Amino acid sequence: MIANIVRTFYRVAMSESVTTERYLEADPATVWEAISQPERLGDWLDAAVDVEISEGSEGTIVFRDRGEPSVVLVETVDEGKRLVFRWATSTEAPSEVSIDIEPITTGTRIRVIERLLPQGQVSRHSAAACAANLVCTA
Amino acid sequence: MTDRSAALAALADPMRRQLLDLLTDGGPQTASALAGSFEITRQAVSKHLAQLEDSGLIHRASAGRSVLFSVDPDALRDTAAWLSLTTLRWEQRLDRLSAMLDGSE
Repeated sequence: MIANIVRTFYRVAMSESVTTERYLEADPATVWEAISQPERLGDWLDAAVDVEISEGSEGTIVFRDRGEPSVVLVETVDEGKRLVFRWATSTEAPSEVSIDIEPITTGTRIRVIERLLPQGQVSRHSAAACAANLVCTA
Repeated sequence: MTDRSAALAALADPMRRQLLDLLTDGGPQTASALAGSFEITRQAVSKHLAQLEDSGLIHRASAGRSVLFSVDPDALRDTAAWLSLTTLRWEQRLDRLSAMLDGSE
């Protein structure tokens, strides 16, 4: 049984991240709106999103199935193409999420990659982001 | 708690995955016994074992004069759980996005 867990684990661990992809019928502009407008983003994340989608901005996301807010730091916004942010709660390890969209003949391809962050990475930081272990060194 | 990121990094190396396989299949073993399965030096094997130990994936325990290494199944489950939970969450979110966009057209 343990051997099975180990082998399942290797497959995913090779990439050190989780990748999820969908082909959507909507055009890229429509998909980008659903990603970059906090309220619409919250609709499909199933969460209350309180963060401005612009580089360097900081805020919170509260998932409806979990009480505890995630601290969020927006890292990259490439209009219409790419959004990268970091998030963490006080109990869940910090990770980085990148969302890429790309036009295809039938609509849009969206690819989400979430990867765990090494602890204590250096960057811009506030007390909240630091407390959530997102962006400060000890 | 296991540092999952360190666990994933430890598993990025094929030699360390092989060591973990040997420990998983063969149970607790000494570094010398493990080194017997490889072409590389005992010293190199020890270095890989130390990295696996730092990541929390394996433990060492003294048994008389020898030191036995063994897999920590909880650490593996912990990391595997993060990977499967994260996959599941994004599958659900993208399903909702897909349904939301279909509904608006």
